[in-house]
This record gives sequence, structure tokens and C-alpha cells, in this order.
Amino acid sequence: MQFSAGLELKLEYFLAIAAVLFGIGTYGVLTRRHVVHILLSIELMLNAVLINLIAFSAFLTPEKLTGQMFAVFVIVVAASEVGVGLAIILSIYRKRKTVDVDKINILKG
Amino acid sequence: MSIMSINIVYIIPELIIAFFALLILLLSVFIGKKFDIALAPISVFGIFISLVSVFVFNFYNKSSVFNNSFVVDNFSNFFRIFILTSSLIFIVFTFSYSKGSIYIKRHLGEFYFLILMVIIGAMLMSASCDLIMLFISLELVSIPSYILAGYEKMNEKSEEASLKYFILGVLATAILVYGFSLVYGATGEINLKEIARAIINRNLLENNYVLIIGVILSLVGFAFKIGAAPFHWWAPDTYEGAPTIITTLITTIVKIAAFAGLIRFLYVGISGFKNSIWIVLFLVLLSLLSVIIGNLMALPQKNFKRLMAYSSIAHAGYILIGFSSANTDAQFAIFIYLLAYIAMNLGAFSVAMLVEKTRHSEEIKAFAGIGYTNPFISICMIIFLISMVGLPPFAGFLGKLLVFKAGVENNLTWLVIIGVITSVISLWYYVNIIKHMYFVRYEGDSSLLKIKASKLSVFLITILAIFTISMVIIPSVFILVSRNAVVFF
Repeated sequence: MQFSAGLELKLEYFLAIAAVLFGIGTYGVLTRRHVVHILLSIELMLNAVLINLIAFSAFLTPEKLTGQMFAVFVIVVAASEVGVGLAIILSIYRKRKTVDVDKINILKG
Repeated sequence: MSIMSINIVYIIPELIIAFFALLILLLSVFIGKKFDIALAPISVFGIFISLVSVFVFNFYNKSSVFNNSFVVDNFSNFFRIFILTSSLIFIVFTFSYSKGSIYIKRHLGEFYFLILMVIIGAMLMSASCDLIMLFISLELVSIPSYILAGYEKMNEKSEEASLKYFILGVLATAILVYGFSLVYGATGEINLKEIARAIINRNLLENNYVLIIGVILSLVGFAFKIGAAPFHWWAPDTYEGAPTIITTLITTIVKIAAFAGLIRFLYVGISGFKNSIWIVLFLVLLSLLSVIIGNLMALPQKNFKRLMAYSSIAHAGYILIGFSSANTDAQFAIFIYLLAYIAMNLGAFSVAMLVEKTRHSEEIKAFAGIGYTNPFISICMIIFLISMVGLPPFAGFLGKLLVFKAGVENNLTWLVIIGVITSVISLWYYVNIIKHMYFVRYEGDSSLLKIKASKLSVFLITILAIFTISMVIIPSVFILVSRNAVVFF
């Protein structure tokens, strides 16, 4: 893809950004203790997926738009997942007044 | 690209279920409590009509419609029949279970709506031939089951189960779809058949690491959904905390759906995955860890649902032995194993639900003495448990035999040996339940000695037990069915 300023964008740049975002997201899911932070980290991972899909679509199959269609579906599913997730978190918060995953630990063994 | 050919005939079974799901939701909103008694019969009726319509409209058709994203072939038809039949039995169990649970009774309309949505997702999964469709139907199965796991809102265990299932499920989805995006990037296609063609034409499995990483990440996502070790952390907690009826749903229909998706993805999409040492190695690793961790962790369990969670992790491991040896024999072995798995799991959970309903406990101790008070149900329970171990006259034996045979034929003898040894270990914890049933006295209220069982439940348990036995008595029928079932279009 060629831009007027003579700057050339390669596919690899997008993939690298996506991979870094995905890594940050995974790290966040594994280390954060607050459930909402975990949800945000998962959103980061899904955004990495979106960047991947759109970059592949634009660079590899610009005539077909399949990747961009896929991205639309991923956005929709991500939104519905967050909807369900926040409902679950809210219901837990009402009962226990905490959403720290370390304190939500009745089930173990 | 051709104009999307809309051919509604091919999705009639799914449409019928969707119609009944929305009907139930609307009726329960507008008519309310008075209508609750009719909801389960309506669901049963809808599933039955859908089952008939599979035979009437689709059984002899082979076609791919909706821009080749939805494919009707033997595999999808057999899987639809399989899923619809097991959900028919499942819905009848919900009928008696929901009477005992305040929260399910209070929101009965949504409960059946969500269950029917899970069933649609499972049916679509077996028919999807496209990464988008696989992803959407996997989510259609998962999202309602997150809600269902937390259905007993005031029960802290149920809420926690739901939260754990949700976080790890969404994480799995993110990893899975990242893998899908890499597969798409490496091949430039999202249709599974086109992906297979691109991989063969450009010899991608040998020289393209983006594809291999993509496939392995997708497998990680699927491994979360089927609950294979080392991605099994959610399973024990979710199984224990969720209402027992939902645990049954998660171990049977949701798991079968994930396996259907995995079969589609690996055998249709990455059809030559046997040529890539990394993918096969990953599958072998998954199955090795699952059989070992599943069986060993089940040993000290005292809660029946938690025990079944580890047992189902082990079963996922045995099924994955079939995947790691990729040929047609292995495919039908997997199908037979799934048939056996669903029959014995539905059976064992239905007995556990009856026990739980009378004695209000999910511990293995609660099974004490039912061998004398309810001899018939106990004999059925023994059939299911021994079938899970994989001893001869029952279904589990046939499944394990064929899966192990496929493993040995593909030079995985060492894995099969570990599988056999861990099956022997599994005998210990299954027999422990039988020991409680016959040799331990029930120490509780003597009015709870006899388990109350409705005639309908006993009838269904009998059918499941007969099915479990008949798979070994007339294996040729089931082998014939399964051989036809794994023919892809």
C-alpha cells in the first residue's frame, strides 16, 4: 500500500502490532485480579484479531472483502460477550460486594 | 463470486428450532406464569418436528448453500439427528429437574429459550464449512451456556461457576479466532474446502509457519471448549457449581458440538494435518495430558459432579487419541466414541439428578444404599459407570477399542498403552461409586432412603441403558451408521 508521503506500509507492521496487542491482552488476562480489567484485556486480544483480519484482507485479498466481513462478525460477538459478562459480574457484585477473582474462590479442590 | 443462493430447505431443522425458541420466549413474556406448564412440552414438540424435518427434507440431499458456508452432507445430517435425539432426552429431564429449583422455575421461559439456542448452535456447528460460521456457531453454543451456568442467581457456587466459565470461555474464543485469522492470512480463504485446496496446492503445511501457528492456536481454543488438559481449569469448578441439569448440558451437548466443530475444522479444513509434525505432536500432547490428569485428579474427588468433570476430561483425551491418528478409521472411531460417551454421560447424570432431588446432596456419599432401595436404577447406574471404564459388554468398550485400534495402526502404541493403564486407574473411582451404592449405609434422614423417580425418568434411563448395551451386542449396525456418518460432502 503506497501513501503520498512516500511511506510504504507493509503487512508485517500490522501483524507485529496485532501480535503485540494480543500478547499484552494475554498477559493482562493472566495477571489482573479485577474482573473488569480481565474483560478489557480480552477486548485487547479481540482487537488484535480485528487488526489481523483487516490487514490480511486489505493486503492479500483486496478484491474479496471476506476478512472484513469476518471482522464485522467478530465485533458483534465481542459486544454480545461483554454484555453477558457484565451481567454476570454485576450479579456477583450485588451478592459479594467484590469482583476480585482471588476472593471469588468457594469452588476448589 | 456467485450471487448468494438462498435455499431455505436446507436449514429448515434449525429454523424450526429457532421458531419454537422465539415462540417460547414471547409466550412466557406475554402470558407469563400461567403458561409455564406448557413450555417443556412445546420444546419437546419443536425438537421432534425438527427431527422429522431432518428426515423429510435433508436426509438424502447433499449440498452446500449460503455461499458454501453451510453444508448439508452425511456428517451434518447424522450429527443433527444425534444432537436432536440427545436433546430430546435432555429436555425431558429438565422437566422434572426444574420443579425442584426455585430460580429455574421463576424464569422458565428464558431457560428453555437458552437451551434451544444451544441446540441450534450445536446443529449449525456440525454443518458449518467456513471459519465465520464455525466461529459464530461456537459462540451460539457458548454464550447461552455461560448464562445457564449461573442460572441459580442466589447460589454463590452457581455464580462463581458462571464467572469462571465465562472468563476462560471468552479467553478461549479470543485465542481461537486469532488462530482463525492466521489461517485466513496464510491461505487467503475462509471456506474450509478452499483452505484445504490452497494448503495442498501451495504445500503450506511444510513451509508456512504462520499457518501452523494459526492451526495450533485454533486447537488451543477448541481444547478449552472440549475441556482437554492443560486447558481444563474451568471444567471442575464449572461442573461443580452449575445446576446439575446444566452440568449435564455442558458435558453432553456443548462438548459434542465442540467436537463436531473440531472434526470439521481438522478433517475438512486442514485435511492433510497428518503431514505436519507440529500439529500431530500438539494433539498427542493434549491427549496424553488429558488422560493422565483427568484420571489421576479424579481419584481423590468426593463430589460426584467434580468427579464427572475429571472423568470427562479423561474421555476428551481418549477421543483425541483418535484425532492424532488421522485417517478414515479414526474418524468413525471418534463418532462411535461420541455416541457411547453421550449415552453413558446422560444416563449417569440422570441417575445423579434423581439422587440429588431426593437427598439434596451431590456428594458421592449421597449414593449410599440406593442399591437396596432402588435396585433397578442402581443396575442402570452400574451399566453407565462400567461403560465409562470401558469394560466389555458396554458401549464405552467399543468406543475405546476402536480409538485404540486407530492409535496402534498409526504408530502411537505408547500412547495407547498409557491410555489403557489410565483406564485401569479409572476403574478405582468409578467402582468407588458402586461401592457406596451397595456397601455403605446411608447416614441421614431415613425418610430419604428411597429415591423418588418418576416413571418417565426411569423409562428414559432404561432406554439409555439398553442403548449402552446394544452398542456392543450389535456393533455392526453402529459401525455401519458411523462409517456413513463421517462422509463429508
